[in-house]
Amino acid sequence: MLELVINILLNGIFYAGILFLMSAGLQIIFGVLRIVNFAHAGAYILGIYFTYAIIKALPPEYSFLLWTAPLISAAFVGLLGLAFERGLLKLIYHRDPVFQILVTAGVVYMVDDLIRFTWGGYSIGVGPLTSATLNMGGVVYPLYNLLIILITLGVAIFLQVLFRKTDIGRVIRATAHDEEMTKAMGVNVGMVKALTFLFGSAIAGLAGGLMLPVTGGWPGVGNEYLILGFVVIALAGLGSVNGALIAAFIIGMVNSIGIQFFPEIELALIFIIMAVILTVKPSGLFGAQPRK
Amino acid sequence: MLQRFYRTALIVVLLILITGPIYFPSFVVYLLSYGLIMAIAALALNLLLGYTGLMSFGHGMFIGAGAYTVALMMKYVGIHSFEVLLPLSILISAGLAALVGCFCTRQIEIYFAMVTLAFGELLFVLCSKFYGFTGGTDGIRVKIPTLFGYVFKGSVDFYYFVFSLFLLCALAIWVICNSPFGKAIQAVRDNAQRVEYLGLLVMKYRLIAFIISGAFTGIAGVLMVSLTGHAVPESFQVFTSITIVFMVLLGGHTTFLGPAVGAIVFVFLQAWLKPLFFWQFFLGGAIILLVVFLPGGVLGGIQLWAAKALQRLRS
Repeated sequence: MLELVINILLNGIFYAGILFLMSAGLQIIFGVLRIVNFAHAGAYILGIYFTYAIIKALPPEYSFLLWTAPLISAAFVGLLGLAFERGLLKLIYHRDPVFQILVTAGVVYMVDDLIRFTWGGYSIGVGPLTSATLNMGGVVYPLYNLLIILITLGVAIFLQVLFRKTDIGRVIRATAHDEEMTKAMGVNVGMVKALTFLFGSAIAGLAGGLMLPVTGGWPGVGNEYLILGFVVIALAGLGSVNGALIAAFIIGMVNSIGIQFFPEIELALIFIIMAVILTVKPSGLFGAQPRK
Repeated sequence: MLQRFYRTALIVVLLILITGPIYFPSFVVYLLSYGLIMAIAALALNLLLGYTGLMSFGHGMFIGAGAYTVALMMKYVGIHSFEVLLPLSILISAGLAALVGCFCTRQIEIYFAMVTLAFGELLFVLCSKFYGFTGGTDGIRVKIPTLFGYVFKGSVDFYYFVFSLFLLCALAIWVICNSPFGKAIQAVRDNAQRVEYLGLLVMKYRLIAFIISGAFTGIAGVLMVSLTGHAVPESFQVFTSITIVFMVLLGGHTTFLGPAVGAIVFVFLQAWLKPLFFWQFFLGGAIILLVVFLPGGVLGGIQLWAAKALQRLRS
């Protein structure tokens, strides 16, 4: 019984970690740019495939560098995100949200097909980076999943410190709060937006890279995680990173319990929980009341 | 002058649509039927997007609801006739819209978009998981239903059926948009707060608009599955929903007939691109180009061009 509980808990936290990495970027980007970024699915899937390419290209004598692959690909994804924001998103900031959503969704179509073109339409995978396991109270758990949990915690703490303690973070928060005023204070808001998009995309790319050994990748994998990310941010209330952490935990636990006891409808369960919470609190758990 | 230009254009297009099957090859007739079916869905979505100002990214769920009403009724009850299936699917789509709308219409703007999207995805998941009942990801094969005992023999007579239903739906949506109710939802779009002060329940109007829109999209679902002969869970999915949104914006969501134009243009564009290996890439590119360079959609562009041409004529 205890083993089962620990197992469910660990699986839930692991899943929550990935969901948090996915939704944190969405939240930051929404907070500053006021755009719900469908292109996040593209960042996730590019993270997976870049990591795959790096791991495949690495000669065996440098195999200790394998661990840096997700980080490097996250950096690449961030730079691509920067190019996308400067080249395209900048043009449509003043437009209706529906146009913004359509553009970011259009990019996902293009990325998916480019990946099909470059790596083929079948699913890819690499072996586990480490097959070590950890024995905790009778539960044997893969070390790699624990590492992902730790990295997620690291990212969460990093974001906290970034937003609370550094100047960049303060400027980002100020821009999210009141763009006009921040501009009047002499801050280059355009650069803040670009940086935010870079950060957000890079986190999604990191999530993809970390998940490659666990789930593998296939064209369209990003969309599934994107929709779960949407569920998380809708639950959390748009723009709240800390809310996303808690909402991700809820969804992760629901998923883990669901897989254990109601495997037929585990995904449906997530959406139902979301519907229930949004009925009680339409603005999400930590969201400000949406403008009427 | 401009009015007369539009009227002439409308009559010409209607004449082409009526006489089309005489000289078009059957493939084009098939595409036209497909386009007109999607046009019903696009007009219905625009009732929400353009007139009420709510962006739904879950309208695929009503296409799916219509399609699966037909498929399940055929498989388990053995009903094969449009005169039963159409009202039934309208009822079911409207019921679904009422249920989902109770959750969604509490939200606005992006929140509304995300919650509708999640509900579409929920139905997709349910539909593909319950393999025994819905056939899972394989979907269900569907024979084309009959109409008062009349069996559709080819693509041409079904085209005329679709065309007449399209006219009927377009007329109905036009009447709704220009009724007092239509004025009220436009007021909700423009300034919800003021409407509330006038003593109207904003949420009620949003909910009713959502239900009407869902019911008409359900009709499109019925026709769609009759045309393709296959109900698949993907029709619930976000890809379908985004496609309908794209059709609306492609045609122009500020005009009444724009979405219908967008749907037909999209269907032909898709048929033209699909033989290319990477048609999704070009679709994404087309979406981006449209948004950046043609904000008013095709019809908005034509209107702009016509107004400019008229001005040049006058001067």
